[in-house]
Amino acid sequence: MKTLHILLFFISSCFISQLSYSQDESPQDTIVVKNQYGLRAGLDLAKPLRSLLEDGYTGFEIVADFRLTKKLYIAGEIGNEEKDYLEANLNARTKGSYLKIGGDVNVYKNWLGVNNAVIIGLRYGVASFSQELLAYNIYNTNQTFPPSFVVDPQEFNGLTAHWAEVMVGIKAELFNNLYLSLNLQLKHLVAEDRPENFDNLFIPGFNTTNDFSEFGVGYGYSISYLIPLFSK
Amino acid sequence: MFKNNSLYLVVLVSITSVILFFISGCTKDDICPEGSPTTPKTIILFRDKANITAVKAVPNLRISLTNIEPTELLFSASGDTLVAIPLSPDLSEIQLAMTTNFSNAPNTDYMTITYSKRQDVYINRACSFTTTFDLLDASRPDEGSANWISNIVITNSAVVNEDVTHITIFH
Repeated sequence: MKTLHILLFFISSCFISQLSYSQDESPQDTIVVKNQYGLRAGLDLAKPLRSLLEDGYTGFEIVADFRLTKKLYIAGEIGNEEKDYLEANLNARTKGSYLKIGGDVNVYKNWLGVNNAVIIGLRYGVASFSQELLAYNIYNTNQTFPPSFVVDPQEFNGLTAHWAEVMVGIKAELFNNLYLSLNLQLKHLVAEDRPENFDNLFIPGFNTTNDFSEFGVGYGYSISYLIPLFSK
Repeated sequence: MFKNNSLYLVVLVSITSVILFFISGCTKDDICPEGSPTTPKTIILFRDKANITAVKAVPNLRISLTNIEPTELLFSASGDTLVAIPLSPDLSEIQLAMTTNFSNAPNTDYMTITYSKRQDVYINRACSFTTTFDLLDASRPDEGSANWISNIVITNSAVVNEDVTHITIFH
């Protein structure tokens, strides 16, 4: 019993000494780290790279976001894509522009003074585009005659499509105010204009469509610069 | 070089993007599923010339396509009253050598079917398009009593499926 009391005394004295020690240092804790607010704008790197490497594809995209609160950003992308579909039985070309508007939430808690982010984003996308049917094969299970290949270009203009999109991504601040971002996108078609007696094989911003589902996928890999407007 | 722990994120971004690049490079080969709509054949039905409402099989019937090289045997059987003949989307006419009793006393009538392409119909990206036809004429040269076919009638000029009879032959 006596030893316990002695032990308690020592532990308490340690706390007291700690307390008095921290009171001495207290002025240093009042440093407030302010968060930068502003417009972050940049360019998608994957699309120009793909334009160089892949035949039958050209595209670019401008990305931007604006910080509203500590965690919330309004965000959007605007871009243009042209994609050829060149398979043995079907040749087509899609070209057009798109706009995506929505918001990002940063779910990552940074160390003080660090501005990386793990984001979950929502977008609503709209595309205006044209589909060109270049040539096609007549499907025939009967092999009596040689395959019939029809070259009869038809262009379908003024098509639009709408979709909703969920994305997850990360943003890393490489240097002061310069960010590298990667995101993965899952899209679901809301509405589309289908060309008469044909289909949208690709929708700019939505990517490749699927014959048997309304879902699409995509990714973004962009570099952007934060133009600081204010901090709080 | 980089600010604090952002190096980890940069490495993560780079690795993920390289993986993504390769995944996006290989797409699933779309194969037209069996049972998809296909370009229809024209259906020929044989009826009795003495009793036009009754079907009548042609004994030992053999049908060859004679306007392509080499001549292609399309059909050889007995006892059938229905025959399906393919049409080529690239031609507007086919000639058929229709032989009855090919095993003992062959008698051949040459039937010409003229047609036009009606419409190419989009199916999906794997199957592409199919086509349909409009039958314009079906006839055989008149050889008098040597003809075994007495009459040819187009009963449905639109070849859009194989569910109806398009040409009826009376013999």
